[in-house]
Amino acid sequence: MGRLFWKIFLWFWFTLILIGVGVSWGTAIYIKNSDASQQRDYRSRFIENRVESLRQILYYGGEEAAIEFLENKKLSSRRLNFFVVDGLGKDILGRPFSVGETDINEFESVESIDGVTYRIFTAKRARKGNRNTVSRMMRPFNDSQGVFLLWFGIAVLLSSLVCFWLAWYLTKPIKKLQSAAKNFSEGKLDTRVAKAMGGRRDEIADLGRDFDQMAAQLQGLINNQKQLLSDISHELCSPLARMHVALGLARKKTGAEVESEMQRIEYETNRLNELVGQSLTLSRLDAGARYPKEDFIDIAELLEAIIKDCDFEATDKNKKVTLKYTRSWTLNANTELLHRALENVIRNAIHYTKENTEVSVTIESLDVTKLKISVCDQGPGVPEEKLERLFEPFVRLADARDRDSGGYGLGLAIAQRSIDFHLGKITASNRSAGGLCVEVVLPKQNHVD
Amino acid sequence: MANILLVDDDTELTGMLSEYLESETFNVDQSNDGLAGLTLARSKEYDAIVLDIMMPEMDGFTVLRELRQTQSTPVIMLTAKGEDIDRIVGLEMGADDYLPKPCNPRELVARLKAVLRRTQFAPQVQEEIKTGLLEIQPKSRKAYYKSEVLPLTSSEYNLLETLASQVGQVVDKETLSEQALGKKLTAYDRSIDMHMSKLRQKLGDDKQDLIQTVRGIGYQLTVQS
Repeated sequence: MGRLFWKIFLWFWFTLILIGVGVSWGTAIYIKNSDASQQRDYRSRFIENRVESLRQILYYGGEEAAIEFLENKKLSSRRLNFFVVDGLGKDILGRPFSVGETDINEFESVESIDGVTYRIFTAKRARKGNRNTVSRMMRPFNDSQGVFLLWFGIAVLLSSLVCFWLAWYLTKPIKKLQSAAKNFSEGKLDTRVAKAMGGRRDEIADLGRDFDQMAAQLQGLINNQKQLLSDISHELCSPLARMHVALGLARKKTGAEVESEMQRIEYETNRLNELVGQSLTLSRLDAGARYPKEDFIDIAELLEAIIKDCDFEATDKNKKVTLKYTRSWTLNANTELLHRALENVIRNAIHYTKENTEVSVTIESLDVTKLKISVCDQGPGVPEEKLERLFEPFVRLADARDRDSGGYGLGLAIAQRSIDFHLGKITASNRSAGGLCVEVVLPKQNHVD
Repeated sequence: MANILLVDDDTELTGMLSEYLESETFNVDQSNDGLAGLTLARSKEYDAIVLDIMMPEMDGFTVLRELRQTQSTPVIMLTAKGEDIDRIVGLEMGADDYLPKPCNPRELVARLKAVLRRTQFAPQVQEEIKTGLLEIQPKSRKAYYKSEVLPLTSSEYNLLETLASQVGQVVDKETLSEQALGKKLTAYDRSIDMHMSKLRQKLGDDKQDLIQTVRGIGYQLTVQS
């Protein structure tokens, strides 16, 4: 589950819960309010009735009848007190009363049967506890809190399931696209996503189709480029072969006066020959050609032999190559390809290591099935951004195409494909102490079958 | 003076190469397609044939296979550069050497001379060999032990045949590598030891009575009564 998945999931979930809670609050408040206004209507009618009754009682029955009426518990209200005040400002029941208090409403005065004028007031009864309106609003379902919590829980659970599915539905094809793009960049050019999109018909499916189209075009372009390199190299073979023979003939027919030029021509022809050979090997390896893999090689001795061959070149520049290992393994390999791969890596290291420094080659066991060969130099290393491209053909690290830098930028590309062919892996990294380390991991093979 | 046949579809190349080889005192005939080359090879006794693999109509391998039905003339195959052909398969078909093209003509001359030298002194083993319970039939490339056919790979058969052709003698690894595996022995090459251990397994030769290891030199097939 990626970050996008959780983002979509959490945002939608949060929003759903927010909307749910908001709507239920709003509804509850609306219901409460309409209840309240109904109650208010009811209360004012009730008060009017009472006051009217009191007036009638006073008018026809006098003070005693009114006292009887007010003292009747059945007729008294829980919320309101009714006061009947005589001309002296005293309540007829003798309750403490003053006109200045709040929440007091005065109604029309009335003249009783005794000829006394009474004033009628209502006042709210003081209540125990302080329940205000706001706190009541916070708990709209006061009486059914347990049921409410249960429903709330179910809603949260259901909404989480829905959001989970939604997030999964949205991110799954994106994940597929991402892994396809990764595969593609790793060189699996026949990667396509249309099938993984299933029967979707939306923008993401369109994106998948566009990706496929792009992949097909790129695959075509890359294959064309590889084919072109292969074709050119092939076409160069015939003229090169003729050049070699013509040069041989020319040498026989001319004397010593042109020998140095002849040598130069031969040198350049050989270089050309080597380049063509390398690029053909590369295209064949790229095309997945099947080379025989029937040799068995002692890896330490192979490295020793390669180092011995390179020694002349190294000591010439005061450079040294050391080989360290505690034990060796016999590998099933194509001698020529493995030899070339390791030689290219070691020659590259010798070339880039600084004068008076050494290249260290070590063999170590990685686990039961794999061994690791590290070739580390003490040169300038490779800029991090170029490390990834180190094994691409014709990528050169030095900007100047000085011939001294050796090779044509094909050496490491061939090494990588050759190690691939041997089911191994080759990687490069910069050492913290400076210099480049190329690591080759190969499957061990001690026993045949 | 050795008679050489050049078979390659590149006429300009064969022209110049003929001239070069003639200056090296070879007698050269040339042919520019496989079929004509095959007819020419059958009509005349050549000392060696240089055969290009990539040819239209009839490729080098087909020519070689046809040729081997009747003749054992040494053949150097010219392979395309960057291609690594299966040397053991080539050996079975009867190619004597390989040279990647384009190549320096001096290299070709050196290989030709080497092939000529080798074939002059090495008569082809075609007789069947019997030693004890072991029986080898070079014509069908089959080996029998206790009258049962051994399930050998090409390399294993080649090794056994090479040892059997000099039964009772130590055959050094260099010879074994060149004759049985078609390549020069290198310090790091363990192929012979590997193939030999599989061969021993198949022969049931755990105690190494049949094939003995001679440390530092090579192997020996012991004489069986």
